[in-house]
Amino acid sequence: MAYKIIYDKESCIGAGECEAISKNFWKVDNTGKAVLNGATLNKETGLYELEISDEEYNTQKNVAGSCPIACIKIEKIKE
Amino acid sequence: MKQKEKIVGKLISKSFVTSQINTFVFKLNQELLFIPGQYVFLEIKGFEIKRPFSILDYDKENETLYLGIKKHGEFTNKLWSLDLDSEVFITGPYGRFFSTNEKIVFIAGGIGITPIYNLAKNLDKNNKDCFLFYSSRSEEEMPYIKEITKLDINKTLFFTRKPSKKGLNCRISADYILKNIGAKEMYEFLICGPKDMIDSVRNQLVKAGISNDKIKSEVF
Repeated sequence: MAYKIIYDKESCIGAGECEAISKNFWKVDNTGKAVLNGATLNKETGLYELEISDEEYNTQKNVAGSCPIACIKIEKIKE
Repeated sequence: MKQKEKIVGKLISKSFVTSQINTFVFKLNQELLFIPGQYVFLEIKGFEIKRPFSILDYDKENETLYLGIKKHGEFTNKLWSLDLDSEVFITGPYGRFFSTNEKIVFIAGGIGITPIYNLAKNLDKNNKDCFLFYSSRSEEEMPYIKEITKLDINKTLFFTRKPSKKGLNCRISADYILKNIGAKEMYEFLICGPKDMIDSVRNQLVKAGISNDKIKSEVF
C-alpha cells in the first residue's frame, strides 16, 4: 500500500511539531514555515506532495495528527 | 503523538495597551512550560475557531499567562467582549522563534513585539551583546513602550508616522542596525512584525552581507 504526504505550506504557522517528531522529513525554515524534504509542488493544487514507504506511514500519520492547524494530511495513493 | 493537552485558563484581567491592543491575563490550572518566543493556541468555550498568540509574559509562581492581542477579526472581537472569570482553553506551546546564539539582534514592528519582549526579558542579565530595534507608527500606538523602556538591553525606538523625541523618526534600516552592533557576522537576527517590514529588513540585511540563514522571522 503506498501513501503520500500532502502538505499545505501556505497555511503553515511554524508550530514545529512535525520537526519534533520527524527531523528527517521536516524542518521549520528561517521564515517560520515547515519544509518537507524532497517534496514536489503540485501546481494544480498548490500543495506539496511526497510519496512515503509503508514503514514511514505511522510516523507521518503522527506528524499529521500533531499539526495544530491540520495542514498536513496522509493519503492512500490510488492504484 | 496526540494533540497537546488543553490547559484551562480563567480570564482575571484585561487592560488597554493602545486603542486596538489589550493585555489579557489568564490564571492557568497547571504550569505552562515554554521557551521564550513561543506561542499558544487560544480557544473560547462555545466558539469553534482557535487562534495562535505569542506569549508576552508568564508568571511561573502564580501560573498566570499574559497575552498581548491586537483587535483584528471575529475571534478577537469575541475575546474583547469576554467577561472576567470566563474560561478559555489553551494549547501549546508551539513555534521555533528563538535562538541559542549569544549575540542576537531583535527587530520588532508593532504588535510583533510580543514574542520579542519575552525573549529580551529572559536574556541572561550579564548579556550586553544583544540589541533591540523596535518600530511603530507613533509613541501612542507603540505597544508596551513603558515595559520596553525598562528592559536592560541596548535599544532604539523608531516612529514612522508621528515624530517623537523618544527615538528616531524613520523606518528601521539594515544600514542603521549594522552601524550600531559591531561585528555583524557574530549575530543572529530575529524579526517579528508585518510581512512587508520583515521582507524589507530581511532583503536589506542580505544585501548588506548577512547570511539568510542567520535571519529568522515570524509574521504578525
